[in-house]
Amino acid sequence: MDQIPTLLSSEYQDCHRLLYDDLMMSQKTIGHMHSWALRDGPNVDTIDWNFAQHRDNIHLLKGADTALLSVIDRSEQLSHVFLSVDTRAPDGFVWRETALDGYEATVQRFLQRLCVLMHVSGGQPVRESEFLSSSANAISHQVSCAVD
Amino acid sequence: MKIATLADMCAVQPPACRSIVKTNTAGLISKREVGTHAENNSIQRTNYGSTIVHVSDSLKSANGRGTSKLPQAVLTPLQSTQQTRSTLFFQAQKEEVKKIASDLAEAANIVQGFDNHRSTVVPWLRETGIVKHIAQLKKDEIKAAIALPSLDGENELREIVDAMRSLLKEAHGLCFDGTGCMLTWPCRVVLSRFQSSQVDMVGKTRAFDPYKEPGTLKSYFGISQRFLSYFHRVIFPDEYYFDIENTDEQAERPEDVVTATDEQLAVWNNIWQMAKQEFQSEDDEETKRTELKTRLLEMWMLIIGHDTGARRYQSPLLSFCAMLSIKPSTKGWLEPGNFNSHLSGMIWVVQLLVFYDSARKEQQGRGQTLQLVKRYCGRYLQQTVETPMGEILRWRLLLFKISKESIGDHEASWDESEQVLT
Repeated sequence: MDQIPTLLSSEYQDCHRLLYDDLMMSQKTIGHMHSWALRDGPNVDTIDWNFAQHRDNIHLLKGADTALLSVIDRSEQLSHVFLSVDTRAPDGFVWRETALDGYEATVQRFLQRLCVLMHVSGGQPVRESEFLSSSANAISHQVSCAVD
Repeated sequence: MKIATLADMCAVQPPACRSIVKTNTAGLISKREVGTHAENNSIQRTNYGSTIVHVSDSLKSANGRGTSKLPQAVLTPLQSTQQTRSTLFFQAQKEEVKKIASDLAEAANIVQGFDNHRSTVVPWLRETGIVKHIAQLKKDEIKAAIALPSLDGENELREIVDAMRSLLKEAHGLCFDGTGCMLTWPCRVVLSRFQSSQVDMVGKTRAFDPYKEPGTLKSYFGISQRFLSYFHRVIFPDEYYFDIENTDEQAERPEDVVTATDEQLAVWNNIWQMAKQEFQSEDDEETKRTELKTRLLEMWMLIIGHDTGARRYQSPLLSFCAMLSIKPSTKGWLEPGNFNSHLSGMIWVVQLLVFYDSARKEQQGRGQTLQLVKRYCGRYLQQTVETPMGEILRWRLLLFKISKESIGDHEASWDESEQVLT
């Protein structure tokens, strides 16, 4: 039991690294998220609602839906990593499949880590049914966010 | 905290930090200043999961294809075209992101089954067959199908619905003490005897209670009126009401499953034709109203006495009850307890109508109320029979059990400034 804080701390650092270094591509233009600045609505039952739609968060998250696209657009190196030239495409560019697959795999690793972190830090033991249901949510969400 | 998309999770810093693109008068990005990090040609390794992408390698290979965006003192016409094209690509991608948001909203409007993962299964919805019956339907169409008729248009339906309310008021008027009262205590007990006689011996039957608060009465009457609206919009017409997306597997729509009997359709057609007629004199209108009410009572008796056998969803009444399971405000499933109160409303209205039908027959000299109620309830209002009401009574039993054991998913909170009372 004494090692749980150490476990949490190392899991947190891993998650942090995965999110900001790998998924957010170490970009300085993307600000770090702080839980104290964001509001959540645990009692909102509306289907597909998440904290990003909370009206108090809208000004904080403005433009966040296309932030990564802008980052890739602006960065020379990232454009080369993620895009390849295809003369058949209307704009002359297509996404590079291997880079996207790699990115998606990282998303999966991040969500798995986050899932454990959320349950362990909640103070209660991980129960199978809860754990599996949140995995399913994360997976279905991942599909929806990786369409671009 | 609910999990948002990853793109949502990143907050963007103020525009001063990121506006490094300039737009021309046409609004397109014509020239960019690339950050100094782009000029750093040292080898960087970005590890995306199992795939290790060497950024510098990518740069070299991309340069070979002439897509270089490295800062140049003078841009050649070819490079300028490439940049415009890549800008167009990102513009298109941003449009796509917006489209995805609207697609997600559209997908949330469709009733999803439990195919995604076994943890998504809600046992009572599966047990009652509700999820199968309304899967793939659009939630706003469901809401429109069971709504009361609007004030503009649907005049005939509104007239029918008004007649229904008047019929229920008449029936309710016969339930109270006074010279006109026809609802006796034995009759009330028989109306509520949904179980076998052994249970009744223990004294568990709660007699039919005609005393209701005005608000409750309104919502109970409303349920019967909404059923008639549903029948008229969905079951009665020949064409499909619900529009579903074409999928590979042939989905069954409620219109395919529900099979109204010929008698039900004939009586409804009669009611519909009658509602369309317009009379000049008050007396004729009054006669029409009385006739409408008689036909409506006849219609309800046919609906309650629908012999569905093992195929429960052939009944229009059951199909309507399944439609009530969606909560319009959140587009999610209704909580078991709240869904049950709709069922209680439906059962109460049916009890009232069964009593009224029998009382009218007694007034016409066609039998005794108690005997008629007993015969009718014994056949159709039992938890053990294969009729629409039998099914609804079983659902209610199941939901009583579930709602007693379920814990509310809302969180209690205390407002620190003591301004909000929750």
